[in-house]
Amino acid sequence: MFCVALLVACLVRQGSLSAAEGRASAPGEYVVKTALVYNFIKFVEWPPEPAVRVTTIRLCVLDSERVPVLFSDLDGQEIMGKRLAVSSVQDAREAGDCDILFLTAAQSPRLPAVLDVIAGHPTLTIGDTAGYARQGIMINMYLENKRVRFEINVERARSAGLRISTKLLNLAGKVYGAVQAGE
Amino acid sequence: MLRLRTLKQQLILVNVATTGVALLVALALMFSTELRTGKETLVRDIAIKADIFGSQCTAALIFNDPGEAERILGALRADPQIEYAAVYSRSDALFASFGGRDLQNVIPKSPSPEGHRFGMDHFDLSRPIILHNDVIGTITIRASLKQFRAVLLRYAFASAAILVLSLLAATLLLTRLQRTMTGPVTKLVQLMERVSQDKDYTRRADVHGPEELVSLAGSFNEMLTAIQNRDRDLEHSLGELRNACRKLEDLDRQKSDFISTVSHELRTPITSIKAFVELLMIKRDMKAERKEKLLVTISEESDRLARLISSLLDLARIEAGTMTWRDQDVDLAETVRTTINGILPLAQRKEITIEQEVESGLPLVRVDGDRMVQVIMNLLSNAVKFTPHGGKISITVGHAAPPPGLAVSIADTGAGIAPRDLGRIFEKFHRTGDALTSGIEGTGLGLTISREIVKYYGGRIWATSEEGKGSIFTFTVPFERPVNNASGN
Repeated sequence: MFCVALLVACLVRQGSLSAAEGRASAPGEYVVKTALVYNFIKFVEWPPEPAVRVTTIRLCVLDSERVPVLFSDLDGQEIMGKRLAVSSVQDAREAGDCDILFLTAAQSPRLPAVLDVIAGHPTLTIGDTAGYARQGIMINMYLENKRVRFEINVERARSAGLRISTKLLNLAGKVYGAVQAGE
Repeated sequence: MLRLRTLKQQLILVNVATTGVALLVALALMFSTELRTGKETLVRDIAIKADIFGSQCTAALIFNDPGEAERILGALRADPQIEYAAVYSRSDALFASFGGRDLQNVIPKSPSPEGHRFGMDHFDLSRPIILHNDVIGTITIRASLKQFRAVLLRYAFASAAILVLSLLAATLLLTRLQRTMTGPVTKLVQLMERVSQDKDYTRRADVHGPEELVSLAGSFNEMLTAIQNRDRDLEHSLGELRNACRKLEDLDRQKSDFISTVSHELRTPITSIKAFVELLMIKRDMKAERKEKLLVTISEESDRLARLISSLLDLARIEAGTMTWRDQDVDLAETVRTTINGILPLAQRKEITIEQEVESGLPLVRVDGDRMVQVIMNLLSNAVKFTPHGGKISITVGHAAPPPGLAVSIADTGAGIAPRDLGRIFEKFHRTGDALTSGIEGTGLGLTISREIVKYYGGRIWATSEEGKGSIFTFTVPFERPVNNASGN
């Protein structure tokens, strides 16, 4: 299970793409990461939400000009009966309403501050920078042997009121925090 | 087919057959139900496993981690029924599998259609793997039917054992219980056999048991009673017939006796008449005196013969019921008086006094006067005959009862009649003393005829006597003649 080969065939719209390419070329890598993010959502359980927001899952990207373009493929996708809405936020304070917050490597210097701001909000934080998981990002993707893998900070997710499925935990390259029964 | 003769055997056969068929049907139904529920349970069990393990494999499928999927499927090892399990991707390619190495070639490269199929030794079940309403793959499980078969076989053995034990128990129970049914029947049959052997129709069946058998026994008892009654009637009729036969034989013997007596009685006067006539014919030179004497004797014998024949005719007529009775209102006292006048010369010759005592104001009786004269004359002449010289005869006429009527008594001072003769003097040709030596010769039928006449009118005639002092003859004539007494006997 430590050898996670990502197959994106399951993502219909991008069926032609293959992770077998393995190259860390920016567009190819992000296609794989987009598919991963999409699938992560399926194994994460948010706490009960106000009725207004039940039909939408907000995916926010903090301070980036490039990434939203790539994630824009997910904008409007149906997932678990809800619609994905991708947007870009410039300030961490705006991220409180986001269900998912993607943090790029550029956020590395102010990461603790950002995490402080959204602490207490049921926001799933996803990143793709080495060391992010240890620092408090819930799901962090990284490259290993030219393959995209992920690590999970289950403790941080739990404190935010999120439940990450055991099935996903079993596939993770590394899990931070103790896994409790029922996760 | 075995031939079962007795009721007991047939009862047991019927019971075993019904019990057996009922049990067989019940067991067959139970078996088929068990088979169906067993299959359903198996399908449900495997389907649940497929769903659970399919669900477990969702993340592995989506994140393309066959190793993780195989690790998950490996947990199926706990179920010995499962031969293999395979997970296929959305594009129907074999993604991960569980099963022995030898099974690697057996596991199909693409999933079997959704649902389940029972084969000879195993059954296959395919379920879609669904994640949030999306079909992301298929899981196929093949389960061995060996265990299922073993359970069914055990069940079949148990059923057979139940069947055999139940039949045995039913047979045993019935062997005991059938006695209530066959017992009374056997009893009845034994009774019938005994009755038909010894013809003892006083026997009765005493049967307790099923209603029909009790009713049968009742009918049988009624039949026995009917036979018994008929037997008794038959016996009675037979007795009557025997009696009648004996009477007829008696009568026949009496007739024969009578005929021989009559013949004898008739021959006596004829013999003497014939002898005297022959004597007269031979001795033509006989003295007139002697001739006269002989002729008187012949005349007397002829008279006797005529009287005898006339009496016989009377008796025959009375007995045959052909006697003509000229009934009229008769003054019995007057009749007695007339008759005394008739016998008076004879009595005077023997210097016998005749006294008569008649109750005054006696009513008339409706009888044949001539017959009454016959009776009284007979009794009077007997009295005169047996009363010695200078004796006395008393006649009384008065009322008698019962039945209401008149009575005539004639008492003499003769020798009387010995007690042993008293009962027989009214019989035909019975004479007391020697008729030939006595002064007046009777026919021997007078008292018999008198009895018949009195009997015809419903009266009685009897005699009382004290030896050496005389006899009293009495007869009664009721005012009312009884009906249906036309014949003398």
